[in-house]
Amino acid sequence: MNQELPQNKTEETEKTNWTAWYIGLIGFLVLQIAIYLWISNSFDT
Amino acid sequence: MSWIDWSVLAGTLLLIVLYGSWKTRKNRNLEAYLKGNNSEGWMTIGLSIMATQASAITFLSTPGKAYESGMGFVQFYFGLPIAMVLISIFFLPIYYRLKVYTAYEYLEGRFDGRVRSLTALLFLISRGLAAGITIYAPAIILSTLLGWNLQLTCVLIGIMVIIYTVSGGSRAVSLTQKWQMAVIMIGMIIAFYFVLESFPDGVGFTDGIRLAGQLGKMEIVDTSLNVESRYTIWSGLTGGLFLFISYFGTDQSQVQRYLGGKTLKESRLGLMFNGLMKIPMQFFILLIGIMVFVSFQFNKPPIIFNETSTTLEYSQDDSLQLMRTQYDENYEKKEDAITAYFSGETDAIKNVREYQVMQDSLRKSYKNKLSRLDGSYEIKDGDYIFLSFVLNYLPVGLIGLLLAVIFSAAMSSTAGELNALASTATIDFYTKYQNKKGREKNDKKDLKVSKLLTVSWGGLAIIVALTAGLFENLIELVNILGSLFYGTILGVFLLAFFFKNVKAKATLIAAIIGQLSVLIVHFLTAYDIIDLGYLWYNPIGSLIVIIAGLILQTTLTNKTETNKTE
Repeated sequence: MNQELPQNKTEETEKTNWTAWYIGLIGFLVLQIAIYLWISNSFDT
Repeated sequence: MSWIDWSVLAGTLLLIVLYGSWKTRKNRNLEAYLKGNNSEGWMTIGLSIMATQASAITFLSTPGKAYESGMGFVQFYFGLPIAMVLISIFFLPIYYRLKVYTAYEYLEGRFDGRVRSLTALLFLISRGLAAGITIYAPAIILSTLLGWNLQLTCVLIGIMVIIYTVSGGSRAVSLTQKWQMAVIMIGMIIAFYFVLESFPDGVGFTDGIRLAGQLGKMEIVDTSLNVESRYTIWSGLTGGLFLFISYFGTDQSQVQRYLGGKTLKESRLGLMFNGLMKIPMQFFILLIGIMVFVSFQFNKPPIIFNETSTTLEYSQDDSLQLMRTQYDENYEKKEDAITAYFSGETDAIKNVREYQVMQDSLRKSYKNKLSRLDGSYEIKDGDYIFLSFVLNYLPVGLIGLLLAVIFSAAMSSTAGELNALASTATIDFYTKYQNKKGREKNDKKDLKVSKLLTVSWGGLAIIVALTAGLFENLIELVNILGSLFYGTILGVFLLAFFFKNVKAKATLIAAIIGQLSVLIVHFLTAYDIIDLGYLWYNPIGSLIVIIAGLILQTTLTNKTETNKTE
């Protein structure tokens, strides 16, 4: 059950640019926080 | 409730349960049962991950939280996208390479059987209790507001989940979760529309947002460095990050969702999907709560939202009656101030604020007094706000759909939990010890045991649900419970991944030290000796395990070397 598979079997062969995905995801997080900060400051009572 | 609502509720739930059972009726071996034969695409994985995390509590509690304390709770999720990236880079490839059924299997190869068993046991304790709360939370609210029998509601939710989880295993859980998420999102969007419809003519969404902002409900991000505050940007990005790495990376109820992926790529995309969608989804649910708050500026809210949870009539007590009269008078004044504000008198907002503060204060005093008069009255009524609104303001048919949303959410997260509890109990305990005894592999028997364990965990969850009490806000209770154990579990995995020199014995002792430390910190917080937000338990637990592991390993190595030289 707990057997190790050869690396090439588990790593996908197609070229997905995961670095771009990760940067995009973190960028989206930063964008959301920036929007939320802007909303918070707009209504600072 | 009308027969139309009953039909919508029963029809939606039955269709989903039957679909899940029918689609997976051919599962005949353990691999198919526990991992769904690695057949899921990224969309199913992503939705399934979201559905497992989003329990009924999410949809009942979160709008109530926004109604009472504004949008700040969204900060809790800020660490989630970062966690998705880290799990995708470090955890997923290892699980795929080793072809594990459970996350804890990996720990045996890296350390030894004891570390694997301890970590799996911590998971079983925390998730076993949480599964009960996942059933109990919607049941108590539904039974209070609709007059349903609490025990019967708990048993009904539990049995429906057990049926398709036992028959179809992991694949049935993922497939039904996909449709349950669809019902949930459609239901919430429709609810949002009808909340806006409850506003008076001429008042729209942006007016509502402006009013909520003027009343302090739109302060989303708190940048203060206050550790006592439960939700700040810093606690979300650090404490939340540790919590989510541990939850998504080491909690079997989540690991099992993405281990069923067709390929590593599909699983990674599923995690990315969750990272992209989770914060906007939570923001949207909180926004519904804010809009309910705005709606109750134009429609008088009840002084308490769980009126049916007390048998005491307010007319029986003079002070309760007086407070009600003051509440009504105050609301009328506030209504006039709001009318003035919307007719262009911008200064009127100061009066609105004053009357809102008075309204909150009267509500609080009323609840305190009621609680003193009736010991059984549950003072925290935030979890009842959204459903109370649904029952009073939504049209026939949609009430049934919204109840289907709540049931779907309860069933989807409970199913994920039962499936994971059974897998861990089967793989990390039953088959492990059977193999140790030198037993031949017997797939048929293991499958039977796994199904039996699913029923047993389901039964236990129902028992926990039947005996559970109502604590604080329910969504926080589940997160507090998770935070008590996640720090230690994550600490063990971080030692395994990044500190190759630390061996089994040091890790085992470090895990015990870490777990005891978190429990001590929690009790000190619970008894007001220290003041610390629960999200901090996660980094504290992980760091103690890592530091203790490193120190112990050095000490043990030195001891061995001294013994050798002697």
